[in-house]
Amino acid sequence: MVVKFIMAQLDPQASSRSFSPQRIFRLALATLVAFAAVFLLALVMPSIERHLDKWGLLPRHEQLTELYIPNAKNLPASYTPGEEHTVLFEIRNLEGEAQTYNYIITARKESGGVVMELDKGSIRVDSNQTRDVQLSATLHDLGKRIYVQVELSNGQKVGYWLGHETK
Amino acid sequence: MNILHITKKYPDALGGDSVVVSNLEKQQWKNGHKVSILTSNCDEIKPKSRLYKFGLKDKPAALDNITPRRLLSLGHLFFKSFQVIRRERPDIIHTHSIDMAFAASIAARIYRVPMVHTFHIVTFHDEKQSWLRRKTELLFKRGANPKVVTAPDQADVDHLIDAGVKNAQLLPNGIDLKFWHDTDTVHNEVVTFIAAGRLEEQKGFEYLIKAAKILKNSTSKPFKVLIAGSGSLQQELGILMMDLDVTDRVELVGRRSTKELRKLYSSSDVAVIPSLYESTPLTLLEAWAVKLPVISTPVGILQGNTQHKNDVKLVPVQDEKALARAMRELLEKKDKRDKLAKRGHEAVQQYAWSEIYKTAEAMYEGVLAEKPTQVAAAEPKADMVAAPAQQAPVDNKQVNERNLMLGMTAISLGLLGTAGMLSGTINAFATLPLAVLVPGLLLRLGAFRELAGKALAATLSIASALGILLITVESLLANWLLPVFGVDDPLRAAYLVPLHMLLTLVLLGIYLQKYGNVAKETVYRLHISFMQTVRFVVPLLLPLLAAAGAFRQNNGFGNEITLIALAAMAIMAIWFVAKPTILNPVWLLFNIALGLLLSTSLRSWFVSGFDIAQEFQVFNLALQNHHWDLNAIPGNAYNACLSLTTLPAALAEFSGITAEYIFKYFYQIVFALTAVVIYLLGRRFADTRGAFLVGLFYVAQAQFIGTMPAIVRQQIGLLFFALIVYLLIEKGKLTKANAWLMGLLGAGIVVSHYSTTYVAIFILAATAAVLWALRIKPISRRLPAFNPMISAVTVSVLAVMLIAMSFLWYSVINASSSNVKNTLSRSWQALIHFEGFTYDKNGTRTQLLLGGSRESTPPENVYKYKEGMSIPEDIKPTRAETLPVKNEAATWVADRLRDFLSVVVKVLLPVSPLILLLVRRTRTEVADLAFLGVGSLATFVAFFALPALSQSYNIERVLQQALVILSITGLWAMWVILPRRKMLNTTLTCAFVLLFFVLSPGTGLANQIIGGTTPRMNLNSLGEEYQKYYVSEGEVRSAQFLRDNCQREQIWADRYATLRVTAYAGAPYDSIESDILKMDTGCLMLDRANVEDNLYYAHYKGLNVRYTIPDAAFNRHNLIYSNSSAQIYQR
Repeated sequence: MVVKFIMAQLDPQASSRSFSPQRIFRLALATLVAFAAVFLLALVMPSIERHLDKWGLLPRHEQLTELYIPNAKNLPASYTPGEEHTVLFEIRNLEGEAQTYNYIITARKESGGVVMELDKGSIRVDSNQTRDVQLSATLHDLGKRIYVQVELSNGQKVGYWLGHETK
Repeated sequence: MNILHITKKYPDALGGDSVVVSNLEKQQWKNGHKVSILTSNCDEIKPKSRLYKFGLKDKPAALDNITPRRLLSLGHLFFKSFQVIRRERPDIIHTHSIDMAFAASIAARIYRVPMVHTFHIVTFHDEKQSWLRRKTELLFKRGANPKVVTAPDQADVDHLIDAGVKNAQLLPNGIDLKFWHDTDTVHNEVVTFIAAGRLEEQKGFEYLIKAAKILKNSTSKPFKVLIAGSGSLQQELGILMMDLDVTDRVELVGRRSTKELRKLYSSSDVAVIPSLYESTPLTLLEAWAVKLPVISTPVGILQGNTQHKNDVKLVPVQDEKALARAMRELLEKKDKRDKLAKRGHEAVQQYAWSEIYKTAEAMYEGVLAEKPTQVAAAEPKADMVAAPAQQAPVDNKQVNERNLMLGMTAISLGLLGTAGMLSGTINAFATLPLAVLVPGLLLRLGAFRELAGKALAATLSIASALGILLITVESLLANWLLPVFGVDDPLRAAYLVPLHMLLTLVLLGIYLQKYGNVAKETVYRLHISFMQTVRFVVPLLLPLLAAAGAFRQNNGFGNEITLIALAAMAIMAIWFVAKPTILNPVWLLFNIALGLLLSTSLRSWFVSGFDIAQEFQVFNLALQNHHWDLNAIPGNAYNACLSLTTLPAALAEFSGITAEYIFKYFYQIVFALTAVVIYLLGRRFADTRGAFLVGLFYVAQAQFIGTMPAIVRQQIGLLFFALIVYLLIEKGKLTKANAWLMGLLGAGIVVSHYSTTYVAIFILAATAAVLWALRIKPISRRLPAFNPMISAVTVSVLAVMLIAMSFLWYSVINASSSNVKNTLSRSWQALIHFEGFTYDKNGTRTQLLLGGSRESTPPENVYKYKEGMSIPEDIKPTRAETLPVKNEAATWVADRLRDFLSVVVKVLLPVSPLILLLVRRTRTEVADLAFLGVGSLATFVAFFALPALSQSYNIERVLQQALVILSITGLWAMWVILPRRKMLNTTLTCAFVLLFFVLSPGTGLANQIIGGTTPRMNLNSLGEEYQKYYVSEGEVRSAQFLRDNCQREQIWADRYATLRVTAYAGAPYDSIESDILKMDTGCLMLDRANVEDNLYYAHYKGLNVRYTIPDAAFNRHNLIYSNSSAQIYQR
């Protein structure tokens, strides 16, 4: 019944024709071909997508790294020479693959010149992941205002100013 | 009837098929048909009109064999057949060689010309033929698949039927009896045997010569054998004659013309046909016609149990002895000769061409009766409301309108209901377009069926606009009414989709109830020919290429694909202008418009442009809150535009498409329809070419390509406006349907975009003023020639209605009209105190307009800014990049040409309405449009000259709106003032628009190739536009960081970084401080241009400022965020 109905929709004159096995075969074949086409399409789709991507025809994320100071609103405003100062920063890796970031943390005088290396190291961040780095370093007396800077090997920087605070 | 014969040979190339075709052709011409011939490239075939040759030069004898040369020629025939069929437009094609039929069959199918084939020789049943030849012949027959196959004798017809060729018919060879009767018989003392034909193996002359030898040896009676013809065996037969020592009896007389052959026959006594195989030999009929007795092998009509067995002396094939015996009998018995001659002469009467022709004619008519009418198949259906079913031919490829709408509605509702499970691609290309189009079509066909504009393009454009309007209204109703029932988030798919489905079903119900029966009788042909498919697919490549080009550039590749897309647009436009029948102008124009828009809108994976940033902000607010709040941004006019709030929110909810792509992709499709409406408007006054040029001129404008995708709120409004103009310039009395639809579209403009509404009001009011003025008696007495069909009342009512609706919407409901009030008040003050009319004193605005170059920010503005704003830092001006000049001369020529075109446009467009009104040969409808043109011109001048107006609203956008009318009046005026020589006039107009398209800074095509111009964002990843408007992912992430970490702080960003902050940090545009060097406290975002190029932008007293600053400018700030293209400072 169902087949007869479908055939009637496909061909309005079907009702006046004989219900031949040949036509059922054709319908079945057409259905099979349609399924095979969908199946093949599903099979080749990843390959098509790969090629489209290779030719630059699919949206790509920019490869970038975010370096930032979390909770920037609550950054310390001052430092006390000889005391430990905590530096906190975060790296989000959006480069598309795992990266190892080398970083260097420095402090310098407002007038420039004297630069104090507080720490350096490296950190591995998986793709699309964020990692924070927190470390403490003793700050020497570098003047009324100092600039604490985190710099990655790719040149990206963040930093903030601290005023001098005496005990 | 127009008949095309495709034949291997044609006179004077020797061959039976050549003679048959020639005779058939003569009869067909005689009976009033037009006949053309497509034949081989032989020197023997003399050129004449309607005769086409194909392939490499060849000898007639070589044409019967498959050689590499012949194969190449058949390859050429494949292409040549397209050209010949296109040129001759035959009703039927009659082929005479199966390999040629196969080669030409594709073209015949594409052009839907039925094919008839005649097998002059049937070989596939003959085992003496090579297996390859037999199989190939069958294969060719199956491939060519002619409607009817004929053979010249019944035996061959039977062979064909046995081989499975069910449609085989008999079409005997014929003879021109009059010609062959017209001769005097000469009696020889020596009995002469004559044989004629090509000297090829198939003809069996070898056996005739051998028989002559036997006869010579067996009788003393003198005789002579003449063999007429030429061919590849000439030398071999000569050698055979010498070897057999029959040169005294057998003579090869060479190739003879038909007349010479007739003379030869009349001076002979017996005709001999020793053929090994062939269809009915013409020599048999010729011999019979000249009353010669015939000795023949059983070929053609002499095969099998033939009716002619007593009309000839039959001998077996390849049997020289039997042949010699028969020759001897006739040589010796004159009475036998006379008896056979008489019987043959009686037999030949039935093969007179006049009789055979009737059979051929009946066969052609039978074939054509089966074929659907060619016009219906070849021409795209223009009218949506088709002829009633009973008038249309019965065809199962037809569908009636009711079923079509039921099917479309079912598919649309099915897609909408399952949109959440479908891929984004399906939703983007099917769910969303159908969700708009189907209810729009139901409305168009149900409520506005009587509308005059029934062209398919008009129907679809109006339906799309109605669909957009419907979704706007339903989303607004949901937004307002559902909260009454406690729903706080009414703009969710959960509510919007069922509501939309319900409304669609209601519309379907109304449509069926009102027009169900009419729709049932309105049928459309579903069949789409190959050519129609090509016509559909080829222009579709344009937006696809443009999108691909934009994507590649976004991913860091070059601009080659975008350039190819633009070049393809230019080539297709030129192609169409040169040959307007080749592509569908509406579809081509739509795709060019869409391609141009997408080339800009799809740049960047985020919203790119200027106002679009704020538009995206209000859209996002409605989308994320699932509710449109009138007071979300108090007084903000953008938030009052439903085309930016509830409409895109509903579209995004329907389809799940990313918010950005509702603007970047879907709105561009809707806006591209404006070009279609302008084409339709142009079509009222011009032919397809003229209307296409109008549309092309409109879309080639710099502001269409560069500005409109960056201001999406105007796109919807402009479509509504263009449709109103289209309905307004309607011939005859204003119908109810037109009036209602104009009212609805007017409401659509109002809720979509305030400025488009105000400009529309200006245009309509100015037009109404002109029309009313013409009714004042002293004026109408002096200007009797002006008798506008356009009604002053209609235009006035429309203007008043727009004023009332905009007042209601923007003042009463939204309270967002303070800007308008201020602007109007300032303009009024300026007018009454004579402050206004500052016509572009420094020329910068003129440079931006009407095809002028897009000037970068002048460096001197920096000093004015620094002084005026007391900027403390050491800022320096900087020049914007230009593309390097690749060829000085070419750049100079292009610049001069562009300047010339620009001057023509600047002068012509404004005065064009006046030209049309003053030149008498203008048609009334054009004059009507000219009245609207005068209104547009007045609006344009007002916005251009009144500082209060021009400062409040971008003049480019006024121009784009006015161009809906002025582009038509402009080109029409050009046509009117050019010399009245049609060819020259057409050429100049076409050249003007096409040059404008190529040279305009809008497309930027020419200068991309030759250099020397400002880079454009759609084509380059450098330059000022790119720096200002291209939004990178780094900038978006930076803005999002700003949003999350700098709440309730003062935000700072330069003029264009502000756009990123507005769109992606959600900060109100007006709250952002852009004089960043004055930053004291808060957060500052630097965008890509700031970080990578140390370039900053400001806006000071209407001036654009571009500057660089010292590296240490922000050294006193905390740098709290950085990525490769953006930074955030805090202080």
